[in-house]
Amino acid sequence: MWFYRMLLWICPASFREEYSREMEGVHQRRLAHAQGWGRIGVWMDAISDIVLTGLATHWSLLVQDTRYAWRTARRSPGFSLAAIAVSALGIAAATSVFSIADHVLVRPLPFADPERIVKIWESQPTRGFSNIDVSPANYRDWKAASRSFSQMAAVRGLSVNLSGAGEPERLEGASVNASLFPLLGVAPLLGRTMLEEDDRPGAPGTVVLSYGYWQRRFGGDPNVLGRQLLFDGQPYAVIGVMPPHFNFPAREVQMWTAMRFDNEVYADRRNNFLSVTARLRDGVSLESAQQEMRTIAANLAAQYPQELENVSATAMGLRDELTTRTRTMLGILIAAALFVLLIAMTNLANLFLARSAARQGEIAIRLALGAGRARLVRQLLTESLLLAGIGGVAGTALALAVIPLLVRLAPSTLPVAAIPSADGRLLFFALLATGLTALGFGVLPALRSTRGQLALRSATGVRKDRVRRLLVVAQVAASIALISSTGLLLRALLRVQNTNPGFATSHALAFRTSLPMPKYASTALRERFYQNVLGELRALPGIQQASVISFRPLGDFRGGLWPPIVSGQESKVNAAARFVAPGYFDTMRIPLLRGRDIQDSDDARTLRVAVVSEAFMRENWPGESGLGKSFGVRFGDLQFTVVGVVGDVRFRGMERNIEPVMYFAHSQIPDNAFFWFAPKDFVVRASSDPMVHLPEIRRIVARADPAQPISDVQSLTALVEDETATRRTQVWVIASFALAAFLLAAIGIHGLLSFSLEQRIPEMGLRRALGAQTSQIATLVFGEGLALSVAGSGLGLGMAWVLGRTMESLLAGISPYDLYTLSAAVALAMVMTIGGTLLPVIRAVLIDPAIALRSQ
Amino acid sequence: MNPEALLPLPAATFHILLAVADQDRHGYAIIRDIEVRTGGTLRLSAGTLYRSIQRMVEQDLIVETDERPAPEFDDERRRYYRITPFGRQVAKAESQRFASLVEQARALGLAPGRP
Repeated sequence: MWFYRMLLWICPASFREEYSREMEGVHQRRLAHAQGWGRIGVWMDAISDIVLTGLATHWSLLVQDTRYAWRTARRSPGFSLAAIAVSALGIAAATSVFSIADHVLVRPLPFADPERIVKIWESQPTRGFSNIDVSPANYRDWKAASRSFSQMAAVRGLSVNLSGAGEPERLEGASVNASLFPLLGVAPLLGRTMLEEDDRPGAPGTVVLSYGYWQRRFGGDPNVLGRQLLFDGQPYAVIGVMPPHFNFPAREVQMWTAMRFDNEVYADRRNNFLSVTARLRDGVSLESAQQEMRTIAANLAAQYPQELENVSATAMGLRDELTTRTRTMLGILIAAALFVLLIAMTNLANLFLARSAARQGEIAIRLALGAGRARLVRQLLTESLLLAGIGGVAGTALALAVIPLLVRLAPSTLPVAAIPSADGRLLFFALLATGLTALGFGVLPALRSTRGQLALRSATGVRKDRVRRLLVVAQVAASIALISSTGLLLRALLRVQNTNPGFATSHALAFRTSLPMPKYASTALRERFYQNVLGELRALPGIQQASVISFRPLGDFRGGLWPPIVSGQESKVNAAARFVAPGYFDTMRIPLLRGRDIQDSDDARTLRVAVVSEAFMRENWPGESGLGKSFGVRFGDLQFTVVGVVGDVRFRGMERNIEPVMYFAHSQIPDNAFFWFAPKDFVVRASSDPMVHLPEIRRIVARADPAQPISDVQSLTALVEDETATRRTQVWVIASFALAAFLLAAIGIHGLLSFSLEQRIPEMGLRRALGAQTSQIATLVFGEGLALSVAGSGLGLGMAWVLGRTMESLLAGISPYDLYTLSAAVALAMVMTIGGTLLPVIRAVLIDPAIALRSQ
Repeated sequence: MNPEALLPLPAATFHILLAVADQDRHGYAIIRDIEVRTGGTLRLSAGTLYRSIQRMVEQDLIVETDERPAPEFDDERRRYYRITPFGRQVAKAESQRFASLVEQARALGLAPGRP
C-alpha cells in the first residue's frame, strides 16, 4: 500500500488531500477480489490510472489557474505590462549572453569528436615563445615519429588573385594536406575533398569551396563542380563544396587547396609557416601526447643543434588557444547578465509583494473559505509564470534581435561561426531564464502572502517591509557594481582610443594588391608595377602622398619577428621586417627623427640601407644616434646600414607593446627572395575624404595590371576604430545592462517608498497635525530612501571591487579601484535615490492632515 | 444554471449520476453498480471516478453527504455521494437527449421497434 500512496504523489496536492484515502480503499477492494496473476493486472491498471489521473488533474488545474491569472492580469494592465517588460529585459540579457558564452566556451566544436582534435606548435620555452608556426621539415618528422595521433595535417594561410571570369578578386583561403578533412570528420556538401594523389608535387590544382563563397560567387550552382578557376594565373578545378558551418582554420577562409609540398620546402628547418592539426589516437591522453611531442622535439633538436636550438613542441586542444582576455570578458558579461536578471527578479518580487499586500483581503478570505494553502500558492505561481512566460517570449525575440550585434564577442581564431545559431540550446537558455525568473519572483511573494491571516495584517506588514528593503538594497548594490564595471571598461576604452598609434589616421586609405608569384618573382618587375601605380596616384588631384609596404600596421600581422645581428651577436630583442617604397613615412605621417628616408636612388647597385624605429635604436644602440651603424638579418644573411630613424608605430595592435621595426628598401630585395615580404599594402593620403578616389585608384591599378584585384580597402581611421570594436561592443553591452539596472533600481526605490508611504499616511497626517514642518516630513521620507541607497552603495562597492579585480586584464592599465569611476558610480546611485524618492517625498509633503486622520 | 448547458455529459458522469440516482453510494459502490448495470463492460478506474466526482461536486451535480449508514455496515474511510436536484435535472435532460436520438435512429430503421 505504501507504493500506492507514493504513486498518489503524482496527483496535485488538492486532489490528493481530498480523495487519496478513498482511492486507496477502492484499490484495496480490487486487490481483495483478484487472485494470483490477476493481482498483477490490478496493479498495472492502478499505475497507469494514477499517472493518467495525475496528468489530467494537473492539466485542468493549470487551465483553470491560467484563466484566472489571465483575468487578474487583464484587470491591472499597467502592473502586468511592467512585469512583462522587466522580465523580458532580464531574460533577454541572460539568454543572449549565455548563448554567446556557450557558443565560444562550451558548445562542442562542429567536428567529429572535437575534443580529440589538437593543434601542435613549435615553441621556445627558454625565450618564452609559444604557438610558433611549424616548418615543413619538422612537420614531416613529427608525423613520422609520433605514435599518439591517428592523423596529422598541416594548414597554411593562402591569399590568391582569382581571375579569368569577370572582375578579378582577392580570395582568402588555406592550403591544406589531404588528410585534414578526414581528420576533422566533416564531409563535403557537394563533390569530394582532396585525395592523397591531389596532394603531391606536380598534381593538377584542385580546390574545395566554402559554402558562403559558393553561394556568393556561383549563386549556389550545383554545376560548379569541375569548373576551372585561375588562382594567381594557375588553373584549379573545383572538386567540392563544404557545408555551411565549416570554418577551418578561421572564418575568413573561403576555399581550400592541396598543399602539394615539393622537396625544396623541406630544406630550411627555420622556414616556419605551417599550423599543424592532429587527432589523438583513441585512448591517448593529451598529457601523454604532449610528453611524446617534447621527446620528439628534443631528439630533433639534438640532431639539428644549429637550426633547432631551444626549439620544443606543444600540443593543445582547439579551445585552449582562447585567450584569457576572451574568457575574462565573457565571464564578466555573464556576471553582468546575471546581475540584470537578479535585479529584474528582485524588482518583480517587490512588485508582487506590493500587490499581494493589496490582495491580502482576497487571499485571507479564500483561505478562510477553506482553500488549501498549496492550492493558493500554486495559483499565485501560475500568475507569475504566465507573466514571466509572456516576458520570456518577448525576451527571446529581443535576444534573437540583439545577438547578431554581438558578433565581435566571438574571437575569429575559433573555428566557429561568428554568431551562435538560434537553436535548441538558445531556447533552452531562454526557458531556463524564464523559469528562474518566474520562480525567483513568484515563490517568495506567494509563500508570504498566503501565510498571513487577516487579523495580523499590520504586524506582517512590517516584516514584509524588511524583506522588500533587503531586495531594494540588493538592486542598488548590483546596479552600483554594474555601473562601476561599465565605468572601468569605458575608461579603458578611452585610454586605448587615445593611444597614439604612431601615425596619423585622417584622410588616409589603405588597400591591398598582392602580386602573384612566380609572375612577379623579379624585383624589377614589381618595382615597375609600384612605380606605375604610385606615379599615377601621386599625380591625382587631391592626393597628397602615396606609398607601399609589405604589411601595413594593425593588419593581420604577418612576417614574423627576427633577431637582428649586431656586431656579430644575435640581439635579444626581435624586430619586425618591412620592405617599403620611398615616401612611406611621409604618407603615414610617421616622424623622421634622424637621417633620411629611403630614396629612389637606393637600388640594387648601392649600399643596402635600412630605416629603423626608435625602439630598435633603443634596444641595440642606446644613447647613440645610430646613423651609419650596420646590422645583419638572419634571412638571406644580408647586411644593412642605418640611414634614418623614425618614430615607433603600434603595428601589431593598439594594446600591444611597441616593438622594434626595420624598414628596408624594396628595390634592394634580391630577385626570387622574400616573396612573402613583397610590398602589397598601399597607403594613400588625400586632402579630404580619401574614399572618393577609390574608383580612380581601381582604374590606375587595372592600367598597371588588368589581372590585379585590389582588396582590403579601409580608411586608416576605420582601421584604428576596428582595433577597439570588441571593446566597444563589450562596453555597450555592459552599459546597457547598467542602464537597465539603474532604471530598475530607481523604480524599486520608488515603488518601495510609495508603498510604505501608503501605509504611513495616517502617521504622516498625525505628524503634520502635531506641527511637523514640511522639511521634516520631506527629510523623513528622503532619509528612508537614502538609508537604502547608502546600504546598497556599501555592498555595491564591495561587489565592484571584486568585479574590478576579476577583469583587471581587460582594463588596459586602469586601476580596478579607480577612484573616479567608483565615486561616479556612487554619485549616480545618489541621483538614482533622489529620482526614486522624489515623487514619494512630494506626496508626503502634500498630505492633508485632516483627510489623512479621517481615513483611519 | 441551465441543465442543457452541461450536455452532452461525459459517459462516466452520466453513469455516476445513474448510480447515485436511487441511493447514496460510496466510491467503490458506484464502480460496482456501473459494472453490474453494464454487464461488466464498463469498469471505472479509481482515478477516473474521483476525477469525475471532483468535477461533479464543483458543478453541483452531486454532494457529499454527512448521513452515514448503520455503523456495522460503515467504514469510516468511505465518503458517500448523493445526487442534487440540479443533478437530477441534468440526468433527465441527458436521458431525453438520448431518447430523442433513439427516436431518430428508429425512424431510419437503425434501432429496434416500430418506425
